[in-house]
Amino acid sequence: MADDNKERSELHRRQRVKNWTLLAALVAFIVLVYFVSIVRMGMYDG
Amino acid sequence: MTDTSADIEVETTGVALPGGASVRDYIALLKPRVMSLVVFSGFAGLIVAPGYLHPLLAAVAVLCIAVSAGAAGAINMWYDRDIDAIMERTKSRPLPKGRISPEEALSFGVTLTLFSTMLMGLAVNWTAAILLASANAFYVFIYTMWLKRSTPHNIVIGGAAGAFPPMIGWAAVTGSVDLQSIVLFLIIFMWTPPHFWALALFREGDYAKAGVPMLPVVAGTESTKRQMLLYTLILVPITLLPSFLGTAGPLYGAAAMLLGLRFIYLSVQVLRDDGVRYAKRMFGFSIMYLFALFGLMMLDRAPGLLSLFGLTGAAG
Repeated sequence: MADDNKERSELHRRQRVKNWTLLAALVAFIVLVYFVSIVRMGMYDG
Repeated sequence: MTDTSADIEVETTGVALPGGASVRDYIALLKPRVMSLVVFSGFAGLIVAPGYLHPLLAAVAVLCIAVSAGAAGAINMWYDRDIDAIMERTKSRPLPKGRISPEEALSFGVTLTLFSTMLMGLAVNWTAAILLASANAFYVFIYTMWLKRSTPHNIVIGGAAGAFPPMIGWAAVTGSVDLQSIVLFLIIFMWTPPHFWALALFREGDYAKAGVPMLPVVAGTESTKRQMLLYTLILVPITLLPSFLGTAGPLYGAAAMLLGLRFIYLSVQVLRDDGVRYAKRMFGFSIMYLFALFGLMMLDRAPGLLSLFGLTGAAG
């Protein structure tokens, strides 16, 4: 019983870390695309 | 091919919790150690290429090269999960251990491939993106799925996949494929066989057990050692070409010559050695050798850096 709980909490912990990592990656990607757009638009300014 | 996902066991202390892959397992799928050389040579291509690329776009180009190389590694691990489970060197990878399912690994690799290629094309240029996609496709379809299990020359032709990064870096800046960038490609292409065969010499049993026809397994160690020397003798003059083509300067040329002589010396020692002592030494040196070549090339190009030491780098 105690082992089951330990396993479940370990699984939840790993899943939580994965979710936060994925969120961070997506946010970083959006920020990156934003700044790349700014730079690329600036390239045509003269 | 065995499907390891069916054999996943629940372990409290271990690593095979179903659906319990950690972030570290996903990072392992990207073969970070291989990625470091890919990133370094790709970055070198960016630095030595003539022209200007905005630092942010240069960083995006390096990121795309890294992610795409990692994605190819993940797809390679998906395809090779049966032999990875047999080989000592690879049996602890997330797929043979059952920490990640084959489907997850494949979709992870394909998703990252698509993202990195599209980002390279939209942010940098499409020449670099096409080269990136070609390198990825070459590694997955030509090397992993075709050559690796069918010919002892798998490394010779398959090595082309790993030789793309400096050419991609160069194309990111110039938007083209030039003679100088082809020389950078050739340096890694010719370096790959002696590097991998040195590894195969002391991992021969592993490859034989997994049924991978590496040259020492098929043709024997003597023949492998002779071919290592042959490739090294062809490689060294090629490493000098950047000096003559203006990609790097005399500092690089002199250092490449000295390092090349050391590489030749080691391959002669490998040929004379009955054991694997020199093969191990040559394998270690080969990694340092490639890092040093591209590092020196960048140093020769770095604006103002060499003048601090009273030296002049490459023109242009």
